[in-house]
Amino acid sequence: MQILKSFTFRLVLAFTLILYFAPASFALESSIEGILVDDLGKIIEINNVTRILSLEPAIIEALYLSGHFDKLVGVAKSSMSENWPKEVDSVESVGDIRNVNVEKIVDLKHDLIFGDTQQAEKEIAKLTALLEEVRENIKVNELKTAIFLYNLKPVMAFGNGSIPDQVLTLVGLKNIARDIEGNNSTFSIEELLDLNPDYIFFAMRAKSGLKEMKNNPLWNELTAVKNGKCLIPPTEHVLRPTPRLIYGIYEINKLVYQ
Amino acid sequence: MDTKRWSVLLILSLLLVFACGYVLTLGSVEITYKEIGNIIVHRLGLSELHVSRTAQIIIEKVRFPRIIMALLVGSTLATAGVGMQALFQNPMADPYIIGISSSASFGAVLAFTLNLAPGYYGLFAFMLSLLTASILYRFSKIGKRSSVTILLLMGIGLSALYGAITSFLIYFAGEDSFSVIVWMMGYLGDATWQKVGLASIPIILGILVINFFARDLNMFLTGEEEACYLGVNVELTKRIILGISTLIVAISVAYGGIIGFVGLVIPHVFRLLIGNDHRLLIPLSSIGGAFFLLISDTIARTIIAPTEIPIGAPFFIYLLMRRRRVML
Repeated sequence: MQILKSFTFRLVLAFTLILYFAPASFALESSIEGILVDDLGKIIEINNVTRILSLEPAIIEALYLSGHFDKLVGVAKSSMSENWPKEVDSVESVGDIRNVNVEKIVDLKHDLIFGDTQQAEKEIAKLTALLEEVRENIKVNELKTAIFLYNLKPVMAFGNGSIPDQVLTLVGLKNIARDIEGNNSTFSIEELLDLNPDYIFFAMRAKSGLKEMKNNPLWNELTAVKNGKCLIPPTEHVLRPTPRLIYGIYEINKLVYQ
Repeated sequence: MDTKRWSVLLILSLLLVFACGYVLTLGSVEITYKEIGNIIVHRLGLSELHVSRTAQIIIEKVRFPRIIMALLVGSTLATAGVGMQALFQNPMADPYIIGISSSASFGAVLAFTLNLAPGYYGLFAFMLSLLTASILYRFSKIGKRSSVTILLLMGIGLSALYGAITSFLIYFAGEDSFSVIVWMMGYLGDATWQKVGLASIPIILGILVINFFARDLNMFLTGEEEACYLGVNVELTKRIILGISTLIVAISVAYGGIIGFVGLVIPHVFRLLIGNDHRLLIPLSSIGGAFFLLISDTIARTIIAPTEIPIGAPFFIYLLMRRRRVML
Protein backbone atom coordinates (compact mmCIF):
# COMPACT_ATOMS: atom_id res chain seq x y z
CA MET A 1 0.00 0.00 0.00
CA GLN A 2 3.06 2.20 0.22
CA ILE A 3 2.73 3.12 -3.37
CA LEU A 4 -0.83 4.45 -2.97
CA LYS A 5 0.38 7.13 -0.60
CA SER A 6 2.62 8.87 -3.05
CA PHE A 7 1.21 12.05 -4.50
CA THR A 8 2.36 11.34 -8.02
CA PHE A 9 0.70 7.98 -8.00
CA ARG A 10 -2.61 9.53 -7.06
CA LEU A 11 -2.36 11.97 -9.89
CA VAL A 12 -1.47 9.23 -12.34
CA LEU A 13 -4.30 7.13 -10.96
CA ALA A 14 -6.74 9.98 -11.39
CA PHE A 15 -5.87 10.24 -15.06
CA THR A 16 -5.73 6.52 -15.64
CA LEU A 17 -9.19 6.33 -14.14
CA ILE A 18 -10.46 8.81 -16.70
CA LEU A 19 -8.78 6.94 -19.52
CA TYR A 20 -9.66 3.45 -18.45
CA PHE A 21 -13.16 3.73 -17.21
CA ALA A 22 -14.53 5.72 -20.07
CA PRO A 23 -14.55 2.81 -22.51
CA ALA A 24 -16.24 0.43 -20.11
CA SER A 25 -13.28 -0.67 -17.98
CA PHE A 26 -11.99 -3.28 -20.42
CA ALA A 27 -8.52 -1.89 -20.00
CA LEU A 28 -7.85 -3.52 -16.66
CA GLU A 29 -6.87 -7.15 -16.83
CA SER A 30 -6.20 -9.61 -14.08
CA SER A 31 -5.12 -13.20 -13.86
CA ILE A 32 -4.05 -13.35 -10.24
CA GLU A 33 -6.56 -12.37 -7.58
CA GLY A 34 -5.88 -8.99 -6.06
CA ILE A 35 -3.53 -7.90 -8.82
CA LEU A 36 -4.44 -5.84 -11.86
CA VAL A 37 -2.27 -4.98 -14.81
CA ASP A 38 -3.16 -1.81 -16.69
CA ASP A 39 -2.48 -0.94 -20.31
CA LEU A 40 0.84 0.65 -19.49
CA GLY A 41 1.98 -2.63 -17.97
CA LYS A 42 1.83 -1.22 -14.44
CA ILE A 43 0.91 -3.63 -11.68
CA ILE A 44 -1.77 -2.37 -9.33
CA GLU A 45 -2.34 -4.15 -6.02
CA ILE A 46 -5.94 -3.87 -4.96
CA ASN A 47 -6.38 -5.23 -1.46
CA ASN A 48 -7.90 -3.17 1.36
CA VAL A 49 -9.06 -0.38 -0.85
CA THR A 50 -11.81 1.61 0.85
CA ARG A 51 -12.02 4.95 -0.91
CA ILE A 52 -13.16 4.98 -4.52
CA LEU A 53 -13.37 7.82 -6.96
CA SER A 54 -15.44 7.39 -10.11
CA LEU A 55 -15.08 9.70 -13.07
CA GLU A 56 -17.62 7.84 -15.19
CA PRO A 57 -21.38 7.55 -14.51
CA ALA A 58 -21.43 3.94 -15.70
CA ILE A 59 -18.89 2.92 -13.05
CA ILE A 60 -21.00 4.61 -10.37
CA GLU A 61 -23.94 2.47 -11.45
CA ALA A 62 -21.90 -0.72 -11.51
CA LEU A 63 -20.58 0.00 -8.03
CA TYR A 64 -24.11 0.64 -6.79
CA LEU A 65 -25.45 -2.59 -8.24
CA SER A 66 -22.54 -4.62 -6.84
CA GLY A 67 -23.00 -3.16 -3.37
CA HIS A 68 -19.96 -0.92 -3.09
CA PHE A 69 -21.64 2.44 -3.35
CA ASP A 70 -20.83 3.47 0.23
CA LYS A 71 -17.12 3.40 -0.57
CA LEU A 72 -17.46 6.15 -3.16
CA VAL A 73 -15.81 9.34 -1.96
CA GLY A 74 -16.01 11.38 -5.14
CA VAL A 75 -17.79 11.35 -8.48
CA ALA A 76 -17.73 13.16 -11.80
CA LYS A 77 -21.26 13.55 -13.10
CA SER A 78 -22.82 13.89 -16.48
CA SER A 79 -24.14 17.38 -17.09
CA MET A 80 -26.43 16.35 -19.93
CA SER A 81 -28.19 13.28 -18.65
CA GLU A 82 -29.59 11.97 -15.41
CA ASN A 83 -27.17 10.56 -12.85
CA TRP A 84 -28.26 7.34 -11.20
CA PRO A 85 -28.85 6.38 -8.41
CA LYS A 86 -30.21 9.47 -6.66
CA GLU A 87 -27.75 8.97 -3.78
CA VAL A 88 -25.03 10.21 -6.13
CA ASP A 89 -26.09 13.73 -5.24
CA SER A 90 -24.82 13.28 -1.68
CA VAL A 91 -21.35 12.18 -2.82
CA GLU A 92 -18.72 14.88 -3.27
CA SER A 93 -18.55 16.07 -6.86
CA VAL A 94 -15.24 16.59 -8.64
CA GLY A 95 -16.80 18.27 -11.66
CA ASP A 96 -18.56 16.94 -14.71
CA ILE A 97 -17.24 14.15 -16.88
CA ARG A 98 -15.57 16.46 -19.36
CA ASN A 99 -14.19 18.91 -16.83
CA VAL A 100 -12.75 17.31 -13.77
CA ASN A 101 -11.07 19.30 -11.05
CA VAL A 102 -7.68 17.68 -10.50
CA GLU A 103 -7.04 19.48 -7.20
CA LYS A 104 -10.23 18.11 -5.72
CA ILE A 105 -9.38 14.62 -6.95
CA VAL A 106 -6.04 14.70 -5.19
CA ASP A 107 -7.67 16.11 -2.07
CA LEU A 108 -10.09 13.19 -1.77
CA LYS A 109 -7.30 10.66 -0.94
CA HIS A 110 -8.92 7.81 -2.85
CA ASP A 111 -7.74 4.22 -3.30
CA LEU A 112 -9.13 1.82 -5.81
CA ILE A 113 -11.31 -1.19 -5.26
CA PHE A 114 -12.48 -4.41 -6.76
CA GLY A 115 -13.66 -6.87 -4.18
CA ASP A 116 -16.54 -9.02 -3.08
CA THR A 117 -18.44 -10.38 -6.06
CA GLN A 118 -21.36 -12.19 -4.44
CA GLN A 119 -23.97 -9.50 -5.00
CA ALA A 120 -22.61 -8.81 -8.47
CA GLU A 121 -23.16 -12.45 -9.44
CA LYS A 122 -26.79 -12.33 -8.36
CA GLU A 123 -27.31 -9.27 -10.52
CA ILE A 124 -25.60 -10.97 -13.47
CA ALA A 125 -27.90 -14.00 -13.24
CA LYS A 126 -30.96 -11.75 -13.27
CA LEU A 127 -29.75 -9.82 -16.32
CA THR A 128 -28.81 -12.97 -18.22
CA ALA A 129 -32.35 -14.25 -17.76
CA LEU A 130 -33.73 -10.97 -19.12
CA LEU A 131 -31.50 -11.18 -22.19
CA GLU A 132 -32.65 -14.76 -22.78
CA GLU A 133 -36.26 -13.58 -22.76
CA VAL A 134 -35.39 -10.82 -25.22
CA ARG A 135 -33.75 -13.30 -27.57
CA GLU A 136 -36.87 -15.46 -27.63
CA ASN A 137 -39.04 -12.49 -28.62
CA ILE A 138 -37.06 -11.60 -31.71
CA LYS A 139 -38.65 -12.73 -34.93
CA VAL A 140 -35.50 -13.54 -36.88
CA ASN A 141 -37.26 -13.85 -40.22
CA GLU A 142 -38.88 -10.44 -40.09
CA LEU A 143 -36.23 -8.23 -38.53
CA LYS A 144 -37.27 -4.61 -38.33
CA THR A 145 -34.89 -1.79 -39.20
CA ALA A 146 -33.93 1.22 -37.11
CA ILE A 147 -31.57 4.15 -36.84
CA PHE A 148 -30.30 5.85 -33.72
CA LEU A 149 -29.82 9.60 -34.14
CA TYR A 150 -27.98 11.86 -31.76
CA ASN A 151 -28.06 15.05 -33.78
CA LEU A 152 -30.45 16.42 -36.41
CA LYS A 153 -28.56 19.26 -38.07
CA PRO A 154 -26.69 17.62 -39.62
CA VAL A 155 -28.17 14.18 -39.15
CA MET A 156 -25.73 12.15 -37.11
CA ALA A 157 -26.26 8.52 -36.20
CA PHE A 158 -24.57 5.91 -34.04
CA GLY A 159 -22.66 3.58 -36.32
CA ASN A 160 -20.98 0.21 -36.17
CA GLY A 161 -19.49 -0.76 -32.81
CA SER A 162 -21.06 2.02 -30.77
CA ILE A 163 -23.00 1.09 -27.64
CA PRO A 164 -26.40 2.09 -29.11
CA ASP A 165 -25.58 -0.02 -32.18
CA GLN A 166 -25.00 -3.03 -29.93
CA VAL A 167 -28.23 -2.24 -28.07
CA LEU A 168 -30.19 -2.21 -31.35
CA THR A 169 -28.63 -5.50 -32.39
CA LEU A 170 -29.48 -7.16 -29.07
CA VAL A 171 -33.01 -5.79 -29.26
CA GLY A 172 -33.35 -7.46 -32.63
CA LEU A 173 -33.34 -4.36 -34.82
CA LYS A 174 -31.15 -3.92 -37.87
CA ASN A 175 -29.18 -0.66 -37.62
CA ILE A 176 -29.27 0.99 -41.05
CA ALA A 177 -26.33 3.19 -40.04
CA ARG A 178 -24.15 0.09 -39.69
CA ASP A 179 -21.79 1.24 -42.45
CA ILE A 180 -20.59 4.16 -40.36
CA GLU A 181 -17.58 3.22 -38.27
CA GLY A 182 -17.51 4.50 -34.69
CA ASN A 183 -20.02 6.94 -33.35
CA ASN A 184 -19.13 10.35 -34.70
CA SER A 185 -20.57 10.32 -38.16
CA THR A 186 -22.90 12.25 -40.32
CA PHE A 187 -25.64 10.31 -42.02
CA SER A 188 -27.00 11.56 -45.32
CA ILE A 189 -30.66 12.55 -45.24
CA GLU A 190 -30.97 11.10 -48.74
CA GLU A 191 -29.93 7.70 -47.54
CA LEU A 192 -32.28 8.00 -44.57
CA LEU A 193 -35.17 8.61 -46.99
CA ASP A 194 -33.99 5.78 -49.19
CA LEU A 195 -33.50 3.13 -46.49
CA ASN A 196 -36.58 4.35 -44.61
CA PRO A 197 -36.23 2.59 -41.23
CA ASP A 198 -39.18 1.22 -39.23
CA TYR A 199 -38.00 2.91 -36.04
CA ILE A 200 -36.08 6.08 -35.30
CA PHE A 201 -34.44 6.51 -31.91
CA PHE A 202 -33.34 9.84 -30.53
CA ALA A 203 -30.70 10.71 -27.99
CA MET A 204 -28.78 13.75 -26.83
CA ARG A 205 -29.38 16.89 -28.94
CA ALA A 206 -31.67 15.11 -31.36
CA LYS A 207 -34.29 15.01 -28.59
CA SER A 208 -34.88 18.75 -28.57
CA GLY A 209 -35.40 18.72 -32.34
CA LEU A 210 -38.06 16.00 -32.35
CA LYS A 211 -41.04 18.36 -32.19
CA GLU A 212 -39.67 20.58 -34.93
CA MET A 213 -39.03 17.52 -37.05
CA LYS A 214 -42.64 16.38 -36.81
CA ASN A 215 -43.68 19.63 -38.51
CA ASN A 216 -41.05 19.30 -41.22
CA PRO A 217 -42.56 18.15 -44.55
CA LEU A 218 -39.38 16.28 -45.47
CA TRP A 219 -39.21 14.22 -42.30
CA ASN A 220 -42.89 13.46 -42.61
CA GLU A 221 -42.05 11.37 -45.66
CA LEU A 222 -40.36 8.85 -43.36
CA THR A 223 -42.45 5.83 -42.43
CA ALA A 224 -41.30 5.91 -38.81
CA VAL A 225 -42.40 9.54 -38.44
CA LYS A 226 -45.71 8.90 -40.19
CA ASN A 227 -46.45 5.89 -37.98
CA GLY A 228 -45.31 7.56 -34.77
CA LYS A 229 -42.41 5.14 -34.33
CA CYS A 230 -40.00 7.75 -33.03
CA LEU A 231 -38.68 6.79 -29.61
CA ILE A 232 -36.67 8.63 -27.00
CA PRO A 233 -35.36 5.98 -24.62
CA PRO A 234 -33.81 7.14 -21.33
CA THR A 235 -30.07 7.75 -21.69
CA GLU A 236 -29.11 5.12 -19.11
CA HIS A 237 -31.02 2.50 -21.09
CA VAL A 238 -29.10 2.92 -24.32
CA LEU A 239 -25.98 5.03 -23.99
CA ARG A 240 -24.31 4.32 -20.69
CA PRO A 241 -22.35 1.07 -20.46
CA THR A 242 -23.91 -0.11 -17.19
CA PRO A 243 -25.91 -3.18 -16.20
CA ARG A 244 -29.05 -1.07 -16.59
CA LEU A 245 -28.49 -1.22 -20.33
CA ILE A 246 -30.04 -4.68 -20.22
CA TYR A 247 -33.27 -3.24 -18.81
CA GLY A 248 -33.29 -0.82 -21.70
CA ILE A 249 -32.84 -3.64 -24.20
CA TYR A 250 -35.66 -5.53 -22.50
CA GLU A 251 -38.05 -2.54 -22.60
CA ILE A 252 -37.36 -1.63 -26.23
CA ASN A 253 -37.61 -5.26 -27.32
CA LYS A 254 -41.03 -5.54 -25.66
CA LEU A 255 -42.16 -2.40 -27.45
CA VAL A 256 -40.95 -3.53 -30.86
CA TYR A 257 -41.82 -7.21 -30.93
CA GLN A 258 -44.96 -7.52 -28.79
CA MET B 1 -16.98 47.50 -72.87
CA ASP B 2 -20.69 46.98 -72.48
CA THR B 3 -21.10 44.08 -74.89
CA LYS B 4 -18.01 42.42 -73.49
CA ARG B 5 -19.37 42.85 -69.99
CA TRP B 6 -22.73 41.33 -70.81
CA SER B 7 -21.25 38.43 -72.72
CA VAL B 8 -18.94 37.52 -69.82
CA LEU B 9 -21.86 37.63 -67.39
CA LEU B 10 -24.06 35.62 -69.74
CA ILE B 11 -21.46 32.90 -70.20
CA LEU B 12 -20.88 32.64 -66.46
CA SER B 13 -24.63 32.47 -65.77
CA LEU B 14 -25.07 29.70 -68.33
CA LEU B 15 -22.19 27.79 -66.77
CA LEU B 16 -23.87 28.20 -63.42
CA VAL B 17 -27.14 26.73 -64.72
CA PHE B 18 -25.30 23.74 -66.19
CA ALA B 19 -23.41 23.25 -62.95
CA CYS B 20 -26.71 23.20 -61.05
CA GLY B 21 -28.03 20.51 -63.39
CA TYR B 22 -24.91 18.42 -62.96
CA VAL B 23 -24.84 18.85 -59.18
CA LEU B 24 -28.46 17.67 -58.95
CA THR B 25 -27.33 14.19 -59.99
CA LEU B 26 -24.71 14.00 -57.23
CA GLY B 27 -25.49 12.65 -53.79
CA SER B 28 -25.39 9.52 -51.73
CA VAL B 29 -28.41 8.10 -53.54
CA GLU B 30 -27.86 7.69 -57.27
CA ILE B 31 -30.33 9.54 -59.49
CA THR B 32 -29.79 9.86 -63.24
CA TYR B 33 -30.32 12.85 -65.59
CA LYS B 34 -33.20 10.95 -67.16
CA GLU B 35 -34.97 10.61 -63.82
CA ILE B 36 -34.36 14.27 -62.95
CA GLY B 37 -35.69 15.28 -66.37
CA ASN B 38 -38.76 13.18 -65.77
CA ILE B 39 -39.36 14.80 -62.37
CA ILE B 40 -39.08 18.31 -63.82
CA VAL B 41 -41.31 17.54 -66.81
CA HIS B 42 -43.82 15.94 -64.47
CA ARG B 43 -43.82 19.07 -62.28
CA LEU B 44 -44.60 21.13 -65.37
CA GLY B 45 -47.59 18.86 -65.90
CA LEU B 46 -46.34 17.46 -69.21
CA SER B 47 -45.86 13.78 -68.45
CA GLU B 48 -46.47 10.91 -66.10
CA LEU B 49 -44.07 10.26 -63.23
CA HIS B 50 -41.88 7.18 -63.83
CA VAL B 51 -39.39 7.50 -60.97
CA SER B 52 -39.64 6.18 -57.43
CA ARG B 53 -41.23 8.29 -54.74
CA THR B 54 -37.92 8.38 -52.84
CA ALA B 55 -36.05 9.78 -55.84
CA GLN B 56 -38.75 12.40 -56.30
CA ILE B 57 -38.56 13.47 -52.65
CA ILE B 58 -34.77 13.59 -52.71
CA ILE B 59 -34.69 15.79 -55.80
CA GLU B 60 -37.61 18.02 -54.94
CA LYS B 61 -37.27 18.38 -51.20
CA VAL B 62 -33.58 17.76 -50.45
CA ARG B 63 -31.27 18.64 -53.33
CA PHE B 64 -33.19 21.39 -55.15
CA PRO B 65 -33.85 23.68 -52.18
CA ARG B 66 -30.34 23.10 -50.84
CA ILE B 67 -28.77 24.03 -54.16
CA ILE B 68 -30.88 27.18 -54.45
CA MET B 69 -29.99 28.11 -50.87
CA ALA B 70 -26.27 27.61 -51.61
CA LEU B 71 -26.58 29.94 -54.62
CA LEU B 72 -28.41 32.58 -52.59
CA VAL B 73 -26.02 32.47 -49.63
CA GLY B 74 -22.87 32.36 -51.77
CA SER B 75 -24.06 35.24 -53.89
CA THR B 76 -25.02 37.28 -50.82
CA LEU B 77 -21.67 36.83 -49.12
CA ALA B 78 -19.58 37.67 -52.17
CA THR B 79 -21.70 40.71 -53.11
CA ALA B 80 -21.73 42.09 -49.59
CA GLY B 81 -18.00 41.38 -49.44
CA VAL B 82 -17.26 43.59 -52.46
CA GLY B 83 -19.52 46.29 -51.07
CA MET B 84 -17.81 46.31 -47.68
CA GLN B 85 -14.31 46.25 -49.17
CA ALA B 86 -15.09 49.24 -51.35
CA LEU B 87 -16.89 51.13 -48.62
CA PHE B 88 -14.14 50.66 -46.04
CA GLN B 89 -11.40 50.93 -48.69
CA ASN B 90 -9.90 47.94 -46.95
CA PRO B 91 -9.05 44.65 -48.65
CA MET B 92 -9.46 42.77 -45.35
CA ALA B 93 -13.09 43.80 -44.94
CA ASP B 94 -15.53 40.92 -45.22
CA PRO B 95 -19.32 40.69 -45.03
CA TYR B 96 -19.14 39.86 -41.33
CA ILE B 97 -17.04 42.89 -40.54
CA ILE B 98 -19.45 44.81 -38.39
CA GLY B 99 -19.71 42.12 -35.76
CA ILE B 100 -22.10 39.86 -37.64
CA SER B 101 -20.20 36.58 -37.36
CA SER B 102 -19.49 36.92 -33.66
CA SER B 103 -23.00 38.09 -32.80
CA ALA B 104 -24.48 35.33 -34.95
CA SER B 105 -22.35 32.71 -33.17
CA PHE B 106 -23.32 34.22 -29.87
CA GLY B 107 -27.01 34.06 -30.80
CA ALA B 108 -26.79 30.44 -31.94
CA VAL B 109 -24.89 29.34 -28.85
CA LEU B 110 -27.36 31.23 -26.68
CA ALA B 111 -30.27 29.33 -28.25
CA PHE B 112 -28.29 26.12 -27.80
CA THR B 113 -27.60 26.88 -24.12
CA LEU B 114 -31.27 27.61 -23.53
CA ASN B 115 -31.88 24.11 -24.91
CA LEU B 116 -34.05 25.36 -27.78
CA ALA B 117 -34.59 23.30 -30.92
CA PRO B 118 -31.96 23.70 -33.69
CA GLY B 119 -34.46 25.77 -35.69
CA TYR B 120 -33.95 28.61 -33.24
CA TYR B 121 -30.18 28.89 -33.81
CA GLY B 122 -30.72 30.76 -37.05
CA LEU B 123 -33.46 32.98 -35.64
CA PHE B 124 -31.34 34.03 -32.66
CA ALA B 125 -28.33 34.56 -34.91
CA PHE B 126 -30.37 36.77 -37.24
CA MET B 127 -31.83 38.92 -34.48
CA LEU B 128 -28.53 39.41 -32.66
CA SER B 129 -26.69 40.28 -35.88
CA LEU B 130 -29.19 42.99 -36.71
CA LEU B 131 -29.18 44.27 -33.15
CA THR B 132 -25.39 44.48 -33.02
CA ALA B 133 -25.12 46.12 -36.42
CA SER B 134 -27.67 48.77 -35.51
CA ILE B 135 -25.97 49.49 -32.17
CA LEU B 136 -22.61 49.81 -33.92
CA TYR B 137 -23.97 52.06 -36.61
CA ARG B 138 -25.70 54.26 -34.09
CA PHE B 139 -22.60 54.74 -31.93
CA SER B 140 -20.26 55.33 -34.83
CA LYS B 141 -22.00 58.60 -35.68
CA ILE B 142 -20.20 61.84 -35.04
CA GLY B 143 -22.66 64.61 -35.65
CA LYS B 144 -24.29 63.78 -38.96
CA ARG B 145 -21.40 61.76 -40.37
CA SER B 146 -20.60 58.20 -39.48
CA SER B 147 -16.97 57.40 -38.82
CA VAL B 148 -15.67 54.26 -40.47
CA THR B 149 -12.78 54.00 -38.02
CA ILE B 150 -15.02 54.06 -34.98
CA LEU B 151 -17.37 51.60 -36.66
CA LEU B 152 -14.56 49.12 -37.32
CA LEU B 153 -12.95 49.49 -33.90
CA MET B 154 -16.24 49.09 -32.10
CA GLY B 155 -16.98 46.07 -34.28
CA ILE B 156 -13.69 44.48 -33.25
CA GLY B 157 -14.33 45.30 -29.58
CA LEU B 158 -17.82 43.86 -29.57
CA SER B 159 -16.62 40.80 -31.50
CA ALA B 160 -14.03 40.12 -28.84
CA LEU B 161 -16.64 40.41 -26.11
CA TYR B 162 -19.12 38.13 -27.90
CA GLY B 163 -16.34 35.69 -28.77
CA ALA B 164 -15.34 35.38 -25.13
CA ILE B 165 -18.91 34.76 -23.98
CA THR B 166 -19.45 32.26 -26.79
CA SER B 167 -16.33 30.26 -25.95
CA PHE B 168 -17.33 30.30 -22.31
CA LEU B 169 -20.84 29.02 -23.08
CA ILE B 170 -19.52 26.28 -25.39
CA TYR B 171 -17.02 25.19 -22.74
CA PHE B 172 -19.84 24.72 -20.27
CA ALA B 173 -22.33 23.39 -22.78
CA GLY B 174 -21.69 19.81 -21.78
CA GLU B 175 -21.02 16.69 -23.74
CA ASP B 176 -22.71 17.54 -27.02
CA SER B 177 -21.53 21.03 -27.92
CA PHE B 178 -20.53 19.63 -31.34
CA SER B 179 -24.09 20.16 -32.49
CA VAL B 180 -23.84 23.96 -32.31
CA ILE B 181 -20.22 23.99 -33.48
CA VAL B 182 -21.27 22.22 -36.67
CA TRP B 183 -23.91 24.90 -37.16
CA MET B 184 -21.32 27.63 -36.67
CA MET B 185 -19.09 26.07 -39.31
CA GLY B 186 -21.80 26.67 -41.86
CA TYR B 187 -24.59 24.29 -42.64
CA LEU B 188 -27.01 24.42 -45.57
CA GLY B 189 -28.57 21.04 -44.92
CA ASP B 190 -31.98 22.07 -43.72
CA ALA B 191 -33.00 24.24 -46.62
CA THR B 192 -36.68 23.87 -47.49
CA TRP B 193 -38.73 25.57 -50.19
CA GLN B 194 -40.38 27.66 -47.49
CA LYS B 195 -37.01 28.96 -46.31
CA VAL B 196 -35.81 29.53 -49.87
CA GLY B 197 -39.00 31.52 -50.49
CA LEU B 198 -38.50 33.64 -47.40
CA ALA B 199 -34.82 34.29 -48.08
CA SER B 200 -34.88 34.82 -51.84
CA ILE B 201 -36.89 38.05 -52.16
CA PRO B 202 -34.83 40.26 -49.82
CA ILE B 203 -31.56 38.67 -50.95
CA ILE B 204 -32.18 39.10 -54.67
CA LEU B 205 -33.43 42.66 -54.21
CA GLY B 206 -30.46 43.46 -51.98
CA ILE B 207 -27.95 42.10 -54.47
CA LEU B 208 -29.57 44.09 -57.28
CA VAL B 209 -29.43 47.31 -55.23
CA ILE B 210 -25.73 46.82 -54.42
CA ASN B 211 -25.08 46.21 -58.12
CA PHE B 212 -26.90 49.45 -58.85
CA PHE B 213 -24.38 51.36 -56.71
CA ALA B 214 -21.37 50.06 -58.69
CA ARG B 215 -20.56 53.48 -60.18
CA ASP B 216 -20.62 55.16 -56.76
CA LEU B 217 -18.43 52.47 -55.24
CA ASN B 218 -15.89 53.08 -58.02
CA MET B 219 -15.68 56.68 -56.79
CA PHE B 220 -15.19 55.46 -53.21
CA LEU B 221 -11.91 53.87 -54.27
CA THR B 222 -10.36 57.33 -54.46
CA GLY B 223 -11.44 58.12 -50.89
CA GLU B 224 -14.61 59.37 -49.27
CA GLU B 225 -13.78 63.04 -49.69
CA GLU B 226 -12.95 62.69 -53.39
CA ALA B 227 -16.10 60.70 -53.92
CA CYS B 228 -18.01 63.59 -52.39
CA TYR B 229 -16.38 66.06 -54.80
CA LEU B 230 -17.23 63.75 -57.67
CA GLY B 231 -20.90 64.12 -56.79
CA VAL B 232 -21.57 60.96 -54.74
CA ASN B 233 -23.90 61.31 -51.80
CA VAL B 234 -21.39 59.64 -49.47
CA GLU B 235 -23.54 59.37 -46.34
CA LEU B 236 -26.54 57.98 -48.19
CA THR B 237 -24.45 55.47 -50.16
CA LYS B 238 -22.70 54.31 -47.01
CA ARG B 239 -25.98 53.91 -45.17
CA ILE B 240 -27.67 52.00 -48.00
CA ILE B 241 -24.74 49.66 -48.72
CA LEU B 242 -24.12 48.98 -45.04
CA GLY B 243 -27.81 48.52 -44.21
CA ILE B 244 -28.57 46.25 -47.12
CA SER B 245 -25.38 44.19 -46.74
CA THR B 246 -26.04 43.69 -43.06
CA LEU B 247 -29.62 42.64 -43.69
CA ILE B 248 -28.89 40.12 -46.42
CA VAL B 249 -25.83 38.72 -44.65
CA ALA B 250 -27.89 38.30 -41.48
CA ILE B 251 -30.51 36.43 -43.52
CA SER B 252 -27.86 34.18 -45.04
CA VAL B 253 -26.43 33.52 -41.58
CA ALA B 254 -29.89 32.56 -40.35
CA TYR B 255 -30.23 29.90 -43.05
CA GLY B 256 -26.65 28.85 -43.69
CA GLY B 257 -24.70 29.43 -40.50
CA ILE B 258 -21.39 31.24 -40.63
CA ILE B 259 -19.62 30.55 -43.88
CA GLY B 260 -16.27 32.24 -44.01
CA PHE B 261 -13.87 32.66 -46.91
CA VAL B 262 -16.43 33.20 -49.70
CA GLY B 263 -17.18 36.82 -48.86
CA LEU B 264 -13.56 37.76 -48.32
CA VAL B 265 -11.86 35.90 -51.13
CA ILE B 266 -14.25 35.69 -54.08
CA PRO B 267 -14.16 39.48 -54.62
CA HIS B 268 -10.37 39.40 -54.47
CA VAL B 269 -10.17 36.57 -56.96
CA PHE B 270 -12.15 38.60 -59.48
CA ARG B 271 -10.27 41.78 -58.59
CA LEU B 272 -7.04 39.98 -59.44
CA LEU B 273 -8.54 38.70 -62.68
CA ILE B 274 -10.40 41.71 -64.06
CA GLY B 275 -9.36 44.73 -62.03
CA ASN B 276 -11.20 47.20 -59.89
CA ASP B 277 -14.17 48.31 -61.99
CA HIS B 278 -17.18 47.61 -59.78
CA ARG B 279 -19.58 47.67 -62.71
CA LEU B 280 -18.14 44.31 -63.68
CA LEU B 281 -16.65 43.28 -60.35
CA ILE B 282 -19.91 43.27 -58.40
CA PRO B 283 -22.03 41.16 -60.79
CA LEU B 284 -19.11 38.79 -61.36
CA SER B 285 -18.68 38.36 -57.62
CA SER B 286 -22.43 37.77 -57.21
CA ILE B 287 -22.34 34.93 -59.73
CA GLY B 288 -18.88 33.72 -58.69
CA GLY B 289 -19.86 33.51 -55.02
CA ALA B 290 -22.93 31.48 -55.92
CA PHE B 291 -20.78 29.21 -58.09
CA PHE B 292 -18.16 28.76 -55.42
CA LEU B 293 -20.56 27.91 -52.62
CA LEU B 294 -22.49 25.57 -54.92
CA ILE B 295 -19.32 23.59 -55.58
CA SER B 296 -18.07 23.58 -52.00
CA ASP B 297 -21.48 22.63 -50.64
CA THR B 298 -21.74 19.81 -53.17
CA ILE B 299 -18.39 18.48 -52.04
CA ALA B 300 -19.45 18.84 -48.41
CA ARG B 301 -22.74 17.15 -49.25
CA THR B 302 -21.23 14.22 -51.14
CA ILE B 303 -18.08 13.41 -49.23
CA ILE B 304 -19.41 14.95 -46.03
CA ALA B 305 -16.70 17.18 -44.66
CA PRO B 306 -16.32 20.93 -44.26
CA THR B 307 -14.24 21.62 -47.33
CA GLU B 308 -14.66 25.25 -48.33
CA ILE B 309 -11.13 26.37 -47.64
CA PRO B 310 -9.27 23.42 -49.18
CA ILE B 311 -10.64 24.13 -52.65
CA GLY B 312 -10.58 27.89 -52.69
CA ALA B 313 -7.39 28.65 -50.85
CA PRO B 314 -4.77 27.15 -53.21
CA PHE B 315 -6.29 28.96 -56.19
CA PHE B 316 -6.37 32.23 -54.29
CA ILE B 317 -2.74 31.88 -53.21
CA TYR B 318 -1.76 31.08 -56.80
CA LEU B 319 -3.43 34.29 -58.00
CA LEU B 320 -1.68 36.33 -55.32
CA MET B 321 1.72 34.89 -56.27
CA ARG B 322 1.09 35.69 -59.89
CA ARG B 323 0.15 39.26 -59.03
CA ARG B 324 3.26 39.56 -56.87
CA ARG B 325 5.45 38.51 -59.77
CA VAL B 326 3.84 41.16 -61.98
CA MET B 327 4.50 43.82 -59.35
CA LEU B 328 8.17 42.79 -59.01
